[in-house]
Amino acid sequence: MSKDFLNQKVLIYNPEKCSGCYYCMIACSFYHNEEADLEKAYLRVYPQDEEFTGFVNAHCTHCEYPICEAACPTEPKAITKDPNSGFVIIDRMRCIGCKSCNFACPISIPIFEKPFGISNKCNFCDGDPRCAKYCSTGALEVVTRKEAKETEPDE
Amino acid sequence: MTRSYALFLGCYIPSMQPFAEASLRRIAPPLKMKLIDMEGATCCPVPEIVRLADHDAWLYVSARNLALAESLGKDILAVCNGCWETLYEAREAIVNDTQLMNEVNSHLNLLDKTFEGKVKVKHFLEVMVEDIGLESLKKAIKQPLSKLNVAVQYGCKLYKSPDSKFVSYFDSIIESLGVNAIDYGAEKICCGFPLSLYSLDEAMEERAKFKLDKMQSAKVDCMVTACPGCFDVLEKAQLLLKRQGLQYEIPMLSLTELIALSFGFKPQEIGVDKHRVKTKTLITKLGMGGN
Amino acid sequence: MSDEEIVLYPWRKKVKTLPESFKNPIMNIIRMGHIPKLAATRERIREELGINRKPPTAYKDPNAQKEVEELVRETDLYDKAKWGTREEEESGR
Repeated sequence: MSKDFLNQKVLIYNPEKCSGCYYCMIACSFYHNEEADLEKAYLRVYPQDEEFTGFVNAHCTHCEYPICEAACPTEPKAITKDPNSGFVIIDRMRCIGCKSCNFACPISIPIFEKPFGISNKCNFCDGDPRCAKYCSTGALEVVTRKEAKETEPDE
Repeated sequence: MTRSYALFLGCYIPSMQPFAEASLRRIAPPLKMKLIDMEGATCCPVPEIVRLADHDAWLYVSARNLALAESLGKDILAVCNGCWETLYEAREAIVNDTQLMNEVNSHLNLLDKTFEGKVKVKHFLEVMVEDIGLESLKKAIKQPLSKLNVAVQYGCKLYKSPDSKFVSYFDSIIESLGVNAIDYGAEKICCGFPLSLYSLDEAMEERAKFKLDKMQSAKVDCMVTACPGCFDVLEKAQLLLKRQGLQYEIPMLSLTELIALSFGFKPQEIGVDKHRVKTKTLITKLGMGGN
Repeated sequence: MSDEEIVLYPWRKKVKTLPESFKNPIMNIIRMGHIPKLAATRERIREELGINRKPPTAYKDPNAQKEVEELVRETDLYDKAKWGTREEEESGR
């Protein structure tokens, strides 16, 4: 693992704090699409079960070797990892809407946007993710990947 | 020692929940609190909507409110979770960034106002525990409400306080008042206000109804909250769901009302009988029916 | 969306208005400084409870309402919400 990779900014989610208000999704869809629509958010919060005993969050981790990038068939690739920031970004001008990335990602982060005929995904709001900034409870936070790894529970 | 605060009422308390304001004004003297009205204060403005729609507009309007308190020279007492979040975060942003402070002041100066970060923003819970102290609170109790089983609705923003300390403050106030907080299993779940921006139906069905069901099966006498936003949503939910034939009628109290009741104020004095959701069962249970 | 993209794919252009659920609250804040209206019944309740009929906030202070409008006018929010100003409305525009 390279040093830059460990210093990259990532999101972490604390299920202990999350109240399931879904405001992160609303903030995300508003920032990217100017709509308050949960379907248009690039991150997801799900109830763990019908009893709402907890919530689960799925957000882009901006992987070191992104599988979405590998799956992208265009040349040059529509999905690239920014060498400086480490964010994995879709270039909407190059995307052909084949949905390969949608299926390749193990947590289905890239989503197909029907009106535009292309896929899109979290771009970390260019370094200032609105989901974490506006999170109602402080359950979502921005930390470096090194710090995030320290919060992982021991196996 | 009497402590003075600039009272920031927000929107929902003065217009929709006057009983919360009345009870706060009643409990202030026994707690040696002096509340100074912030004349001309506006909406904080509401973080969920205005901050998302336009960050600058949110910052300027909240800075105006902060400037009003600064002209009074008193720390702000925020009685609403949303107001606390807005004013606290706006203040933090302005105070920690000189450039931003200059920018904000260039706008405020047009209104003959200025904000230099001299006053702090405090939540009602913070003031009760850190400034007033739980001992003073206990001393002022005239009518212990130990028979009362309450469901606590914290409100999301309390978790956002440093180390989520406001959540434990809420618990310790409830404990000091001697009422029984019932564990109904959905304390942490959001009331549904942010979700209502996407779909009111979903918010009512998936959040408010879920919470009300849980409270009802836990057989609580009433619910108590420190957040007027939660109060409004859950009140609205009870009234809306009634149209679908779902009778909840879980009486709701804001925390200031609960404190006022335990200080011996009559429900009629502080307006507990003026709620939109009926509180008759609660008043009967408290044995405070008569005038 | 970049300018280049807008030129090439005009149909991909985003709609620049506020979601419906945002409009009313924002409009109310700009016009009266607060979100909910102060109903006459609530004014009466306030009086019965021994607090001022009108709350000591922007509810009774037209000057404060104007100040908020002035502050918001300097931001993008005013255009985003796309409604006329109070004066424009009164003059029938």
